Amino acid sequence: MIEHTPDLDSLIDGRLHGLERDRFARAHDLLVRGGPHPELPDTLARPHAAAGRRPPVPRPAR
Amino acid sequence: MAPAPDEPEHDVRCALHVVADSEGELLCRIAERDLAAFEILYRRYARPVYGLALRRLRDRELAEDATRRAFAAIWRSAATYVPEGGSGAHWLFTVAQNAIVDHARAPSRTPLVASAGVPEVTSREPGPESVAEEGWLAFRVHAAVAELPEQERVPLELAYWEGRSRSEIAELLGLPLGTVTIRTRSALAHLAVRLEGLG
Repeated sequence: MIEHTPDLDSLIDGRLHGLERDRFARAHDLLVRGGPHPELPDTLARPHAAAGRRPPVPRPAR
Repeated sequence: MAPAPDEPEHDVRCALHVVADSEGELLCRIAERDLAAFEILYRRYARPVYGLALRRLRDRELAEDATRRAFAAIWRSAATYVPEGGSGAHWLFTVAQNAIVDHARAPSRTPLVASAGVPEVTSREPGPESVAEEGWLAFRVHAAVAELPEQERVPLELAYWEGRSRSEIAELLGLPLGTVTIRTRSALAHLAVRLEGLG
C-alpha cells in the first residue's frame, strides 16, 4: 500500500464530474493498488549492463 | 512444441495477430533476434519486472539477479510466444514470474529476508491467488506508468509515490501549478485507457 495516498480531487483540481471524473478515479485507484514503482538500480539501467558479462543478446550468426 | 523462430509459420502468425509496437509484436521481433525490439521491451518492462521481483524476494540484490534472469528467459523463449494464446503482457508476466520463482528456489540463494524500504505486498497474509492477482495488477500498472511521457510520469510519481502535494511538485519541477494539474490529468487519462479492463 502507498503510505501517503494522494487526494484525487486535490491532484486534479476537483472540477470534474460524471464519466470523466469516474475515469480519473479508476486510474487513481489502480495506481494506489499497484503500489510504489521502484527505481531501477544503476546495474539494471541498460539491457547490456543488466546482462553483465553474459548478455542475453548473442551476436547474429554470420 | 513451439516452432523455431525462423520458421515461416511463426512469422505469419505474428503478422496476423499483433499490433505494431505492442508487446506481442516486440516478442515476435525478439524471436527473430531483433536487438532493438529487445531494448524497447526492456525499457518498458525493466521496472515492472524488478518491482515484481522485489515483491516476491524482498531483497534488492536478489531482485536484481532475478530481473537479469527474467530478461535472459524472455530473450531465450520469445519464440514460444503464441499471439493467439493471449496478450504479450501476460506472457511476459508469466515468464518473468517463473524466472523469479526459479531464482528464489535456486539452492545457492540465501534465505529470504525483509529489507528496509521494500514495498510489502499487503499487511495480512494473502493466499497465492491473491498474491498473483496483486502482482499482475502492479506489473500492468507499473508498465503503463513506464510508458507515459516523462513530463506526465514525473509529476505522477512525485504525487503517488513520494506523497508530494501539487504545489510541492510545481516548486520541485519549476512549473506553474496549472501545468502540473494539466499533466497529472493527462497522465491519469492515459492510464485509464491503457489499463482498461484491469482489476
